[in-house]
Amino acid sequence: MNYSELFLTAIQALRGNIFRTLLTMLGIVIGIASVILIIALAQGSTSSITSSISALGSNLITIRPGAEQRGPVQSGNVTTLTRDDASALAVLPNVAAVSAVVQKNYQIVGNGENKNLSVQGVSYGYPTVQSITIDQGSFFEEEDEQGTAKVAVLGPDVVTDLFGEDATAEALNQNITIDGKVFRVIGVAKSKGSSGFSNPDEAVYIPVTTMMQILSGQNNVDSIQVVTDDPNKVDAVSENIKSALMDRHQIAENGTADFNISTSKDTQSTLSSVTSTLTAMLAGIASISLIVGGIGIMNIMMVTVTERTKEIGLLQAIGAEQKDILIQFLIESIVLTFTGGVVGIVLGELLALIVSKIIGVPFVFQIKSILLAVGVSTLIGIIFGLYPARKAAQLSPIDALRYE
Amino acid sequence: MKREPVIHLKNIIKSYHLGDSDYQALKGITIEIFEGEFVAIMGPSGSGKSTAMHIMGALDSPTSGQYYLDGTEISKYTANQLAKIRNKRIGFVFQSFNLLARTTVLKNVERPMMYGNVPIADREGRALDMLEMVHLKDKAHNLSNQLSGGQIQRVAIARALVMNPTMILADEPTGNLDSKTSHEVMSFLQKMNDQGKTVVVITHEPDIAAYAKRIIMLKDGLVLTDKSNKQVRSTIES
Repeated sequence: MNYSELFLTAIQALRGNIFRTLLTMLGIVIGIASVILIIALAQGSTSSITSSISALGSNLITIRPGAEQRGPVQSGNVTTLTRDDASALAVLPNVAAVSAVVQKNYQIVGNGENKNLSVQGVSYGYPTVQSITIDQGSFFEEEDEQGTAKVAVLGPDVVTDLFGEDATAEALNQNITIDGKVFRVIGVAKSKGSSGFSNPDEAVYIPVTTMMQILSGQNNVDSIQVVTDDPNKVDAVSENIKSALMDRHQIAENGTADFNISTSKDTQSTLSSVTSTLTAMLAGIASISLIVGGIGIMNIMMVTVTERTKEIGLLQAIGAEQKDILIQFLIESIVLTFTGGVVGIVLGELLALIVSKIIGVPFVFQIKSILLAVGVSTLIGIIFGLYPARKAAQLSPIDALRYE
Repeated sequence: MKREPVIHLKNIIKSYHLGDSDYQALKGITIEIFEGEFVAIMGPSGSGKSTAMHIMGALDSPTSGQYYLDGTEISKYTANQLAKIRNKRIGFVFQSFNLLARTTVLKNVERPMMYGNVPIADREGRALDMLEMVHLKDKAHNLSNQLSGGQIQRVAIARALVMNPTMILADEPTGNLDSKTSHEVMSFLQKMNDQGKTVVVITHEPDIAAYAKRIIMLKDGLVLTDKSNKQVRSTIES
């Protein structure tokens, strides 16, 4: 027996009952298409999140107080980082800008509106660190930071909250109160979009010194953010920061650091592991429909074997061995699932293309998921076709010939 | 030197379990058939002729006794060994459901060669030669469901011959045909026999058995009579 002949024989048998063949295939088509769709959309979202993180700056390094540990970061209670640490890092090679950051939520009143918003005490280098551009007015200067000036730069959403739509020009030079203290608005930032964790458009930026001395009354900072002048130097700069801070904090080289350093690359890898877990979960749910499709295949193959009992008897009489019958029916179910798989892939990719356009994530085409889908659909054909095919092969010729 | 029979059933018993009792379809039959014979096996229903056909056709194994086909004892063969024997040694013609539906006449005749590992290049030529013998070469590319009942039986004869078997085993080959077409089909079997093929026909119709040179009557699982047919109904006659 030759496999290409068996293949043609199988196609002929499937064409003989084309409507049933198509209906049976539909189960696999839907299963494969939904898995392909989910994976493509998940990949698209991942790449859009990744690119928005790299928009934050792939050369960003964040230093937080407290030893590196797994689990939730408890930077709030650890008070090991100071503004002086931040100043010391500014002189390291390849460091483009440094900002100390202290963040707290305060009640803000402006133009008669009262809002609870995130207030970020930052250094004057913060616009460089976070690539923030100023729409109106200006960001505060080094002197403002040194003089604990009560000036504020508003995110565009804050302006909308307090002064209304398109009120950027009106907001400038207005006074607002933060926790009862009066601040003058000296600038409004351009919209940057949410990064997924925090929304820089909904923050009020004030000098970190003002924040620490006038508002929160603390000596330590929540974090220090450093940006390098070259994305390739991030690791080297991280090392330098570590040894500089160990030195400043008088910790022996083999001791445990009282701070931890993370780069945007680390954040990206954490996030991509989260999204891939999520993708796997969704694909797992979608593959339930594949199993249902497989059971449909098995059901139809059982019916087919019963219907064609006489034919099986005839084939046995003219010399078909058990393996010939087994392979013939197995190939039929594989052709069924393989074709269903291919149609499902095309349909899934088309849907992914359309849906990604609608929800605005990039369309990601992956050869890997296509090969996987082809493999899985073929495997379903083998698994769910095997039992009916064995049943056919093990028929006794006289029972099969006598079957009415 | 004594001539060896091509088919030798020796004391064949076949019993079936029916509930808690055993039913013996064949109670010990011995039949020898020599090369070139045309034998009709007759008998009323329940006589055991179908069971005898199953055993002679290597579709089933006897409960006891020996079956020598071309001198080889095959009564203990496995299912796959029997499949090979059927493919190479026995050409079947059944009463109905002889051909694969939605398949051309040519592909139907080629099918045994597919199982018999005949090289693909040789198959079409051999199949066409057989179809020519039954005068159906012009229908080679028709689908099997476009043929008449007599044509279907003739295609079945062509297929039965294509592996050059030891015998043609025809089970009620004219059961679904009118008398004119029956005669036509039997004439072809006679013609094959004239060319030296051993032919065994299972039938309950004396008219059909009359075409054979030897008639074996079965009754209640035993051979009742076994005699040569003095007045063979010939092709020329009607």
